[in-house]
Amino acid sequence: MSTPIAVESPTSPRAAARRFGWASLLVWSTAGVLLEAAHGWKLAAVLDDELTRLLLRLGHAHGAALALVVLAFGEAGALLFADPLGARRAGGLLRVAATLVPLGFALSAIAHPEGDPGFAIVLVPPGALCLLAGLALVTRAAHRR
Amino acid sequence: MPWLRASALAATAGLLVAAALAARSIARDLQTPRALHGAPHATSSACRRCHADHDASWRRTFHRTMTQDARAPGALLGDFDGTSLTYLGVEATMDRGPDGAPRMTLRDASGALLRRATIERTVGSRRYQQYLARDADVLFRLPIAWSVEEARFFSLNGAFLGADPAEPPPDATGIPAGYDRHVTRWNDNCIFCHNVSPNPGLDAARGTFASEVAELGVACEACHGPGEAHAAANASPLRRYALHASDVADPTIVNPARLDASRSAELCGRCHGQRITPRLEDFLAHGDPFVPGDVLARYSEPLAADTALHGEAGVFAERFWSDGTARLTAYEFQGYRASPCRADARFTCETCHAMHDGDPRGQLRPDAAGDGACTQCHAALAIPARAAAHARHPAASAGARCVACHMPRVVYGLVDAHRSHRIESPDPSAQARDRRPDACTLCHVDEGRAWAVSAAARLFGTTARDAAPNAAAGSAPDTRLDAELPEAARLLAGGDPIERALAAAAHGRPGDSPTRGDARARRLARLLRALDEERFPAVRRVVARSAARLAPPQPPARSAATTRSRPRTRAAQRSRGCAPRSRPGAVRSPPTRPPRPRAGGPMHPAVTS
Repeated sequence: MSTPIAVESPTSPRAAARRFGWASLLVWSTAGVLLEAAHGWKLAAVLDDELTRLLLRLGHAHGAALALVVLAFGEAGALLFADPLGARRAGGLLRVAATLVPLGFALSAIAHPEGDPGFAIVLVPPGALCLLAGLALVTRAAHRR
Repeated sequence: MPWLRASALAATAGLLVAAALAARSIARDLQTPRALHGAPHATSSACRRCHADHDASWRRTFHRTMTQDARAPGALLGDFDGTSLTYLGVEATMDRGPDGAPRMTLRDASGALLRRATIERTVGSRRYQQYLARDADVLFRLPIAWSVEEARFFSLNGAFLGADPAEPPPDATGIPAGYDRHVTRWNDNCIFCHNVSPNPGLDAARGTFASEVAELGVACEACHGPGEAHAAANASPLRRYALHASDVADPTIVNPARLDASRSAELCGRCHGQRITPRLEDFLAHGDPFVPGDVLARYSEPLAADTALHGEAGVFAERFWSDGTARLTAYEFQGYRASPCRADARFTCETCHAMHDGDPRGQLRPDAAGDGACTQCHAALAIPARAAAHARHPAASAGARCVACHMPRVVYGLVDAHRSHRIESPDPSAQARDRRPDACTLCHVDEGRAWAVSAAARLFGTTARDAAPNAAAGSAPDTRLDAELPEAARLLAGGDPIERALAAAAHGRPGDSPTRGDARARRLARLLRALDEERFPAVRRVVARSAARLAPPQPPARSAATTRSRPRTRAAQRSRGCAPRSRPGAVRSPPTRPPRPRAGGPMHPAVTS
C-alpha cells in the first residue's frame, strides 16, 4: 500500500525548482561527459587551448553545482518562505544565476581573444549578482522563520 | 517588496552610469599617445599572463635563448663534464666548480694553470653557443665555444674568418698570441643586439661599465617596446574588452604588424643590419635610444661599402661585393633596402618571416614556405607549370625554386653560406663584371662563368654584356681561361676567404648532378685538396662539412671519441694540437681588457678579422 503523494501546483516555486534543477543537472552533466570524451579522444580544439579548457570546465562545474543549489532550494529553501512571492522571487533569481553563470563560462570559450574569455563572459557577473541576491533572500527567510 | 525593486533599479542605473563613464574614459585613454622612450619595462613574465600563445611561440625561438644566465635550467648546451680541448698548446677543460657553476680552465702544455673562468652567461643556441665570464664590471667572451651541430667545443678562431695564428711565444699571461683573438667585451658589443633595452653604462672618465639590460635575450619588449605601462593599463578588464571589440591600436605598446613596412623592417634591421652611429659615446653611456616604431635613421645608419669611419672611406668595402650586395650575415636589412621588391609598399621582413610562427630555424612564415613568399605578389607563378617555364628548370627541381636564382647563397656567416637578402634577377654577365659569385655557378659547380653567361642568354634572353670586371672590384680581370674554368672550383682554389667558404659550401650541396659518381669524385677531390691547403680554420670547417656530405663517413671501427681525437690531415693537426695533462699551477688573471671603442665606430665587431 503506497503513501499518497501530496499534489502540488506545477507553478509553485518547488515544482519550478525541481523541473529546472533536474534538467540543468542533466544538461551540465552531459557537458561533463562530453568534456571527458574530448580528453579521451584528445580533441585538439578543446585540449590545445588552456583557456578554452578552463572555461569549459568552469561552465560544467558551475552548471552542475548551481543545478544542485536550485534543487536544494526546491526541497528545503522554498519551505522557509512564509510569503509565496518571496519564494518565487528567490527561486527565480537562483534559476537565472544557474543559467547565466555556466552559459557565460561555456560560451566565452568559443573564439576567445588571447588571454581573455570571449564576450559571452559578460553573462557571468549579472548571473553572480542574481545568485547572491537569491541566496540573500533565502538566508533572510531562514532568519525570519 | 517595493524596496527590493527600487534597490535593483538604482543599482542597475548606477551600473549603467558607471559603465558609460568608464567607456568614455577608456576611449580617451586609447586616443592618448604615449612616449615610450625611457618608459619602464615589464619583462616577458608579465606579458605571459595575458599573451600565453605569443609567449609559447616566442619561447620556441632562438631569439629567447640569445643571451641566458648560464645557471638557468636548460641554458647550457655544452658538455661541462670535464671535456677538454687542446688548441695551440693550451688545454681548455670545461667542468663545474664545487657550487655547480660551469667553468672553463686553461692550462699550458706543462699543466700550469693559465686562467680559470666561471661562466656567467651564454650567448647563442642555434649554431653555436658562446660563453661569458666576469672580470669585475666587465663580461668577456671566452675563447672556446660549443658547436651545436657538431656537439663539440671548438676555438672561436674556427668561427670567424681569420687565418691560423702563427705560433709565436706566449704573451704575458702564458697564453699564445692568437688563442684569445676573439676574446671580446660583451658590455659594449654583444649587449646591443642580444638583449632588451641594452645600456652599456660606460663611464668614460673612469673607464668602467655599469651595464644593464631590461631582459636577457631578444624578448617581447625588444620588438614591442617597453611594456610596464601596457601591463598596468590592461589590468582593467573593461579596457581589454574595449580593445578586443575594436580595431583601435593600444598606444601603450608597439604592435609591429601595425607599423608601416619601413618602420617594421627597421625594427628588424636594428639588429639584422649592422649600423654605424655618430653618437657612439651616447650609445655607450646611456644605451641605444631606438624604440620600436622609431625611424632608425634618427640614431644610426646601416653600414654600406662606402661608409666612412673617422673620415676614412672604404673601411667596410670588404664586407660588400662590388655591386653593393652584402657578403656577410647581419646585413639582411641592407639587402632588403636594395631589393626591387620594395617598390611594393607592403614589402617588409614579415612578408616572408614570422616572429611567432614557423620553424624557429629561419622563422619563415608557414605560408611562405616553398615559393609562397614570392607568389603572394607574383601570383601567376603559383601555378607550377608557369613557375617552371619562368625558371627554365624542371618544376620539381631545386633550381625551379624562386630563391635559387633570386636569393643566391653569396653571403657568408656563422661558418656557412647563406642566401642574400638582396632579392635580384640573376645576371651572370653583370656578376662576372662585378667579380661576384652568381646563382648559376654556385649550383652548377662544375661549370664556368662563360657557360653561365651563354646559358642565361639562351634560357632567359639576357644580353652577354662586357664581362670585364668592375674597376671597383680592384682585382685582376678574368681571363678567358678563368671564364672557362668551373667557377666554384676557381674560387675554392684562389678566391678570398669568403669566396672560398661560399664555393666550399656550394660543393657540398646537392646541386645539379648529385648522383653522378664522376662529378662527385671531382668535387670531393677539390675539397680534399682545399682542406689540406686552407689556412682559415672557419673555411676548413665549411670544406670539411661539404666533403662529409659528398662522402658520408663510414661507421667508425673504434669509438667515436677515439677517432675524433686523432687529427687526420695537416690542417686538422694545425687546429688540434695535443698536450699532456699534468700538474696544476698558479691561477693567472683574465685576459687584458680589449681596447676601448672609438667614437663613430661600427656598433658590432667585424665578422671578418
